[in-house]
Amino acid sequence: MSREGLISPVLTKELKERFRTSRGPLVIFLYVGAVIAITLAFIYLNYRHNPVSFHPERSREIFIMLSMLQLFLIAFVTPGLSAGVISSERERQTLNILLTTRLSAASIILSKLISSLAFTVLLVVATIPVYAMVTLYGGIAAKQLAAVFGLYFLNMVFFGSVGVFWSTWIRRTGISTVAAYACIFALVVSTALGAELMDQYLRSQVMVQYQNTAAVTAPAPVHPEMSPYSGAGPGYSPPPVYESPAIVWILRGLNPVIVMISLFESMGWGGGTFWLEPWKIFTIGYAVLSICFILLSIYLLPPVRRGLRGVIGWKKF
Amino acid sequence: MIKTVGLSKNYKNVAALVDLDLTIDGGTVFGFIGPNGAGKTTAMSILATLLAPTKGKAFVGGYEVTEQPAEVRQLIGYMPDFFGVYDNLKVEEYLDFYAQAYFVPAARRPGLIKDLLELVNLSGKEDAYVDTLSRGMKQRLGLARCLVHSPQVLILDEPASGLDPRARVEMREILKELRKMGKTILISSHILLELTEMCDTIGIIEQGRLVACGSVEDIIAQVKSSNVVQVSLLNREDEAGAFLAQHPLVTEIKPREGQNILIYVKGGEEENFRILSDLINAGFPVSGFAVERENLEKVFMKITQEVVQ
Repeated sequence: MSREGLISPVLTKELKERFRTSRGPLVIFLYVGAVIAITLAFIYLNYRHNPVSFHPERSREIFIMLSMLQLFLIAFVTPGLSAGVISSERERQTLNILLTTRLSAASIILSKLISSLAFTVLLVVATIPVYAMVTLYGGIAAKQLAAVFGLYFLNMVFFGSVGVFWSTWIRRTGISTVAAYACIFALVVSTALGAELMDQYLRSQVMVQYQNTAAVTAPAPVHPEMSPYSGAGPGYSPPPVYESPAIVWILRGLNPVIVMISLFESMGWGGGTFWLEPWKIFTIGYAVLSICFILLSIYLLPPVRRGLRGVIGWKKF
Repeated sequence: MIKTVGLSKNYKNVAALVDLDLTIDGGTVFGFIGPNGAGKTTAMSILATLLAPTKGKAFVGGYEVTEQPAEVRQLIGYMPDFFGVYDNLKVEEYLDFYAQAYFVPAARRPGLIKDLLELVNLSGKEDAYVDTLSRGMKQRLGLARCLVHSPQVLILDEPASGLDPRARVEMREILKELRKMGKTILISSHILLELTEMCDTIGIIEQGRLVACGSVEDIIAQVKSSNVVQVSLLNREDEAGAFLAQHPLVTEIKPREGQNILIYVKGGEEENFRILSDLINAGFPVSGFAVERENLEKVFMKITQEVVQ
């Protein structure tokens, strides 16, 4: 008997099963159709009053809209595809048989994840002609285009890992799918909302402290930069320049929507800047979280757990 | 080949398996008999490395199932009582997938699949999609799947359940063939007659405990404290029934079927002779007096009834 090959039989089987039915092409058709329809509708709304002239700035706006739309669709499709990979095996009573073969838990989990990602990658690749159409008149740098697709890929891996994790933990596909969506929704909302609430609270604290302690001879304007008294008068102490703390930037960097915006706009947001760019925080954070979810799935899959050594199948023939 | 020592499994407060001590020699067929929920599937799942025992040890081919599951999996072919198949795969692809999952070299796989399909009478179905197969065919395909890595031990949990009589006969013939090939087979079934024919040894399990174990003949001898006799009469069946019901050597009398009366006699041949003499002396027209051979089904019922009581 030979050793386990590089390409797991589970991956080959999954790809064969996924792409063999008519459901696959139908999903691609509907997905690309939806992207094209929404993009064309947006283009129409932008150019309906002046169809003959072209502005690169508008091309850029359409590109940003398309990128956000695609991000939303990825967040919608990926957990749906991955949250049933293990639980569906359990439901159709094939998992126990699979677990009595010589395939390791790591091999099964990774193969399942890759096969579900392969389909999502195909969906995104199928929309490239739409991007070509939108970026035809410029306004977008090649670097930005690459960054957007890099961000998609990271999101897919993360959303896929979340789906696989819930699918391994929860026996029913319906519940695991809902749990995966809830988890992703909670992450997106909590990072955006958490960052802004924390930022506003800390900013107000700084201002209160300033008002209480600063020795002012003239009434300090709330917004000194907009005030005619800005920096004027003896004894006047200008309010401190507020810098968002690292935790706020980290939370912002963990939000895919904010990171996507940061690829197009420089992120100052009235709270200074952070030494680590949002996309870097995102890459590190989501890579770590994805690895954690994958490792947890690998740990949870075997029916009889024997610690890490047995789970990742170090001991092989 | 298979050995369990004090094997126990609890689900919260429910004891599914209690101190199971079992030894199955290589090349023999062991039949697991017991009602639903007796602990057969639990014992088989532990042996198939799918369940951790609460207490005790289980060995397959000398390997401990929880400590060396990879070695055990290479030795066993496991067929659960209920299992699904990948409907979108063709029969050949299905077997090829499992052969890959056991790292069977690519060059060996086509020949192996052909041989397996021939063994389970599915030759010619290579290109058929699995979901187009009948229940019996899927069950035979499942058996072929168990054999892709040529395991020494087969753990078959109710392989004939849900099959029609023809499919059952076909399944039984395949198992006999596997027995001839020297495989060690651990099989559970509700069709006790099948086990009587096939098994070298049987184990009767009830409420998680192994209540009897040995050859079919040994177990029958162990429990045989009475014998069953069918008495046939030309007429006066009701009177004869009343007479036998009062007889001190008759422990039980079954409702009459036509002109036959089934009685349970305390003792052996001598007691039978005395009852027959008493019947004739009383003037009953006895046309037949046949001792029924005790079968596995009756033994099973008797043993499990005692445990339940």
